Amino acid sequence: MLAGGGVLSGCSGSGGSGSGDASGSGVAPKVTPGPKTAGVLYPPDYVGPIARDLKPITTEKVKFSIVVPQDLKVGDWSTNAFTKWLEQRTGIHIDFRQVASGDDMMTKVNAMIAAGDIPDAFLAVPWSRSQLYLFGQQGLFPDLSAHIDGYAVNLQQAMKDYPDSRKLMQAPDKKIYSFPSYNDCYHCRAGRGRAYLNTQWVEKVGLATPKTTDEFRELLTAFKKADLGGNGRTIPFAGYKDSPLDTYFMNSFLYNPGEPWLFVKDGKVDVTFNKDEWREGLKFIHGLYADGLINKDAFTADSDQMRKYGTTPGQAIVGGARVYSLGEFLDVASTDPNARYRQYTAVPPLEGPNGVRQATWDYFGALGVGTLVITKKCQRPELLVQWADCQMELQAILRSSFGPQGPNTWQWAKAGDLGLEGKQAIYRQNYDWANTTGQFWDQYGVLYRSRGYRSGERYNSKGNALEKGLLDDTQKYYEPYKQPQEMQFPPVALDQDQAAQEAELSTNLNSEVNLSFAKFVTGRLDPNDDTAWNDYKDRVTKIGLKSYLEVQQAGYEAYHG
Amino acid sequence: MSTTEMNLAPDDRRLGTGAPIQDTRSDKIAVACIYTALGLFCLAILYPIVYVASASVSNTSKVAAGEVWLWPVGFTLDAYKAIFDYKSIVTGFGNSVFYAVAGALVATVLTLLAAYPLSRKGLPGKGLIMAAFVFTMMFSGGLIPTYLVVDQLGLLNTRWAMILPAALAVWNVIITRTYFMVTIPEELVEAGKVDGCSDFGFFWRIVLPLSKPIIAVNLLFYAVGQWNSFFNALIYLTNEHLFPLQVILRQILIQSKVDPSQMADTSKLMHLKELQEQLKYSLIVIGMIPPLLVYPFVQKHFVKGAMVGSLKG
Amino acid sequence: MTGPTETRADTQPTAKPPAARQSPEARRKGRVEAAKPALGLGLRIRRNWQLYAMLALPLIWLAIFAYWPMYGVIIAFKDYNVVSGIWGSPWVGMKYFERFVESYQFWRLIKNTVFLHVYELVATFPLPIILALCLNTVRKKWFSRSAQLITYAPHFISTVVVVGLVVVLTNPNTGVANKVIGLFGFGPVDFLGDAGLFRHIYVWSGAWQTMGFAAIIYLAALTSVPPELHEAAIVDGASRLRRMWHIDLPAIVPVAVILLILNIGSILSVGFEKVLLMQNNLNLDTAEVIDTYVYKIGLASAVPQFSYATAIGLFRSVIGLVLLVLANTFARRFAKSSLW
Repeated sequence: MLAGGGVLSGCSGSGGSGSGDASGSGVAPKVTPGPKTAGVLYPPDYVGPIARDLKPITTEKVKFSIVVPQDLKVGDWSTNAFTKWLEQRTGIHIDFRQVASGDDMMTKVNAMIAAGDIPDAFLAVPWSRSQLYLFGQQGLFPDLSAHIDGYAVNLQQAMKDYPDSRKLMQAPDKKIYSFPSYNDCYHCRAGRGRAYLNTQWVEKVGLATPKTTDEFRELLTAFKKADLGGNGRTIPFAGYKDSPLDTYFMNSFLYNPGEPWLFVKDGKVDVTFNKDEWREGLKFIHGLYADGLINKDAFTADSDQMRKYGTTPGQAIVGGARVYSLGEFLDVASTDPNARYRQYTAVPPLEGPNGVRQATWDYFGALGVGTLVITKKCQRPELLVQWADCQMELQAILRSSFGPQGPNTWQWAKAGDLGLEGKQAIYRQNYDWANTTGQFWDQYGVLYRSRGYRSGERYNSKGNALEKGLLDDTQKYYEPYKQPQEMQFPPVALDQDQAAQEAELSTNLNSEVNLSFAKFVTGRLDPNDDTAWNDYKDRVTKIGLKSYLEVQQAGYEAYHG
Repeated sequence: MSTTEMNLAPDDRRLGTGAPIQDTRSDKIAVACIYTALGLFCLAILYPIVYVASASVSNTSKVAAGEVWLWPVGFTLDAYKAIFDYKSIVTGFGNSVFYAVAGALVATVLTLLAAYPLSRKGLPGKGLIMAAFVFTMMFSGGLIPTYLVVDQLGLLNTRWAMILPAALAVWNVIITRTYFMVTIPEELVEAGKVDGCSDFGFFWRIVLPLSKPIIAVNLLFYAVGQWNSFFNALIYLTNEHLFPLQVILRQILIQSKVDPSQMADTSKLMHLKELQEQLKYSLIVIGMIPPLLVYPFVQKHFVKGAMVGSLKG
Repeated sequence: MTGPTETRADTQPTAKPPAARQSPEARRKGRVEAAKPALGLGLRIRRNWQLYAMLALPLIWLAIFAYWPMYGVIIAFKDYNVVSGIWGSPWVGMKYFERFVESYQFWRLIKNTVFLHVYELVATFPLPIILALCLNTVRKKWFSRSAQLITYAPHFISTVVVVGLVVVLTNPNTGVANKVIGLFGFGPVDFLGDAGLFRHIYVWSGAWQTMGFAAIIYLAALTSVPPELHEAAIVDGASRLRRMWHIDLPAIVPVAVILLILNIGSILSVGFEKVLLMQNNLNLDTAEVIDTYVYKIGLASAVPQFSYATAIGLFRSVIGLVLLVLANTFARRFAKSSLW
């Protein structure tokens, strides 16, 4: 829509610096995107961020204070190369306040709010939707809808590219309390349902890639029998505590997205873990475990231990694994064509005895809310909205992710360079993450990384083979088996009371289900024993499954309402 | 305290003078047992420490593959070199040293000031004051109110925020007080009174010189407490230049142990893991060195009979 | 002021040879006498003004950093949210206490926390004492000093790494622990996956890590033993172990008793980070404790549960205080030292 124009600059433009008046949505945008940068190539049918020439948002001297996480790679935010570049480009100065990152960050942020020590904005703080909603309603975070509709040209484009996204951004009261970020990681959508097999071993035992649960079991049994790891060290199939088994295996019995195990059927929210199919799944997994086909410590091994299994000196001892990606148990940095990780390929979901064959698919993962949260302290929210929007421009994204343009970071692709999906590439990336500090924002900023952008990276069999492999197997093995979108429980926002109730119920339910799952699989509880199964269902009911589902149902209805 | 060095432990003294009393048979067995038990225990402890040290100078992928058992495999100092790539680690180390030293000094002074009066017999209101101290061990206002107080005092984002809120541990006060009660006999206090010593004078001239072991322990405990703490930094500081080492260490050890399902980016997850694997052990070694260097200075004061010996002398 | 003869038993028990100790009755009697003020209260206060002056700074600190924030416990009785603030949030009375007590996991949490703490206390409390006594009796300086340094070092290994080492050592396929039990013909055991073994692993790895550091306080206390006592005892032909028991140990007892009382007061807390790191889906039966539960609720919660967490904390404090007072009363009666 806004394509041609380009009379005015910008992530900002004419009116941007002036009035703080951002009265109505529906009003024609006050700014238009700048002209496309010459010489940047795009694949056909490209959907994603575009490189544009921009002028500063404002010539006034304005400064905003923003709370950001401390990070080794970003280093000092105020002297970071991307900060400098963005400052120059937008004309907006930021006073960064760095707080320790991780789970701890929320503690600090809450204390700041409690003390009334509020910055103009928070960047990359892990807000939950419910928090945004709560603070939004309490007036701490203003509604950004009008500013987004008025100034955020790149975000507007992204919302066109991803039609669901406005709904996902909105709180239940239909307001938008944060500036979002996009990262459409295609292969991540299938991550929970992914598993790998050692294809060399499959060949060695003379079997085909398994299609059904029975074939799978047969294959693992053959692995064990042939003892391909040697000295009885063979682990036919490995799991570890950070990577749940149920998200792969259970989908041969019923659609199971994994913790918190919620799904939607005909508009009704329900859970998977008390269904008879779940029990059938338990029997199957228990059978594997009881036969020694799954490592004994599948529930206790930590990631370091998992890596030890994967990278044993000499030959491989792992026949297959339930992991999100190979890097969790193998050394994937090697460019050696015989590197061990090349033995492993993803395995599609298995068909269960009743013909169920599903891969749990995440439809909602591309959009993250809360990336930039502007507070009521901010006098000129429209400027910060433009500042954020500016980061969604292609060159800004590349600089924010990889550092300044250059042969050792990133460059525009040449004609004929092919991207990860085999089309014209947009950029080449050659940055050395490990040895770079202070050059980029390491994905903390506002980003618009569409699928087109992500696979617009030039394919380089040495550098990003893993990413390509993930993309390919997702396309081939998992996407065809994805569940219908209506079945997935969407990301909901709860009000304060609901959230309080939900916190306790979900803590107790998750503990119980995880504990019992592990017990059923390892045989401490017998899935074939009706009493054990009924006791488990009783416990789940007693914890308050009914109220839990009511809360979630309310959240679900508010989401759609 | 001039007699301290002279005042050898009884056993040593006996050896020195060739005392006629021989160890009995059971004594010999007891001694052998003690040596063996201590020796074995030390070995058991030494192993993980050697492991950590070896891992810090080994090739990271060998460590990850479990090839390092005791000695380094694929010796390299890369992990230590990498540390210097991160300014925040270097400044963090410096900050930690500052907080440990300054924090220990301030806190030890406060502790001694509190502990001595509370150790004195018959100080009116002593029980009440003691109870007031102990009560705070059980009840605290919690995070947010404490934060509000620190904010209202204007300490936020200053080095004082690291030192003042942690400037007294009731635990240490109680231990120190108990030590005083045991080692400063009331006769001594009375004798001081007779000599016309004021309480200040007595504390300064008699109590402090007699209390080197407990002063050393306080300094050590407070310094170690500061050295290992991250929470106050996390809550009160918003300036990277003020962060102590533990915040960085924690970021690498704990916060980068991200749930793989939460990472939208496999490559970033891998990178983080590499970074973690590379820096984990070298950072622990770096974090261990200062406390280990300090310990012998504390240990020096654990001389048997030092107290009483100097009293008589 | 009390007469020196009565108080001597209280203040300096170690200075007396064991045989000369007063019976408990005599001591109690002495205490009763000691409690009688010999001078008027006002005079005693004036005489001690310098002692009060010394206490001034610590008390100011206490008032500012410990008592001033304490009004915050009312969060437990309110539906606190950070925007409305402590005073602005609505009162809810005992709602959060009720919620906790009625919580599905309440009894499991209490049981697990208390068991873990008590086990840890019983198993690891005497160890630093024994270690200190042993170190103290060792004649070779270099041995004693290096042993001290070595045993002190693990205190500085981060919990994450300690737990990581535990995982490696107990691994069912490659762990040393399994190789050892394998020698005796036992099959591989997934130690960490066994809810019954969780407490042992937690407690003993903790003992391993903290014993040396905890011994420091006792080493300091042992410096108060007059060498003359040992000399006299040697002349009397007392064996090494007897001297350790009758001379060295009494020097540590006052400190040990105090530590014990304090420890009992914190019965409802355990090393949170370590428990959390050691948890897995198979050991939750025993490894879920109050702290980890509060943490999980906080984490699972879409909105921080300050009021709930404060209420649980307050619950814990009240129980801790009651136990502390009981322990202290007990210690006054039966041991020579107490908190007040």
